[in-house]
Amino acid sequence: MEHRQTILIVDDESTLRSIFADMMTRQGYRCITAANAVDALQIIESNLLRFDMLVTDIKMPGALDGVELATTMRELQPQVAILVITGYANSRAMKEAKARGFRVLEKPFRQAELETAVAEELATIGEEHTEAKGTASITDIAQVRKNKA
Amino acid sequence: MTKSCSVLVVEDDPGVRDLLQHVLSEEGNNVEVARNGEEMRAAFDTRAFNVVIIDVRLPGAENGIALARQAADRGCGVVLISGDHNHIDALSRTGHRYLLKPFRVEELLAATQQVVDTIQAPCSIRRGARRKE
Repeated sequence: MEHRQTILIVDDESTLRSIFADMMTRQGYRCITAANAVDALQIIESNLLRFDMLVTDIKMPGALDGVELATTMRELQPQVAILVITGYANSRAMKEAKARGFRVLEKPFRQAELETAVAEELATIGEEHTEAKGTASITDIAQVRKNKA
Repeated sequence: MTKSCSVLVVEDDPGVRDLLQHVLSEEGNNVEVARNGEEMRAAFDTRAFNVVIIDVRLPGAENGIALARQAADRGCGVVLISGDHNHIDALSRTGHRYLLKPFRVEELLAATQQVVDTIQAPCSIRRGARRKE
């Protein structure tokens, strides 16, 4: 069975979320997006899907930030690669992310830097996988809920 | 999944239901959802489905395995979903395809396609008698 790696992308800025998802989809990954850490946590805690990677912004509205989300993901699915994104260099949260062993990418960054970071982190998870190929696929849970409302 | 098909998802958790519906829809399938057995049977009365994806653990008197029997009686393919890794034997005895959480999207799509491939056509609302509850 062909295995397209699945990435959960979490960012409260819809434009950035779409851009990240489009970038990753063009690389052949399957992307599921969430608009905040609480929505993402629901997806993770449902334990329905096995993800290959979490890409999350740190600072988001709501009771949970990206570092706490990443920590929960690491506990529930230890094999998942994690990349934390922030526009606040040297913030306490960024230092906390690094202290917990998460790779951090500072905004602004080039597309190639994101692609490299994702590929390198996925390579570290140690699971055998085939090269991601196939039709683009983005699932935005926030949008699904908005459409249903 | 190579062919689009008509899928009914039976799941009480709204987040899980939305996620399953959207992942399957992204692949071009026509996906309807039901929260329980009552809604599943109501869906059967209105249209035909190739496959029914059912969470084993549902609240109420009817669990997913009971609903799977009803769906199979209608001629639908069945994929059971369970988070209980201790019930593999029980799931195996149902004779239905099953997935243990967490699973990959590809596993869901492959299981759905395999089940669809085993049936000739969407189960019809005229096929099979309704089971009395």
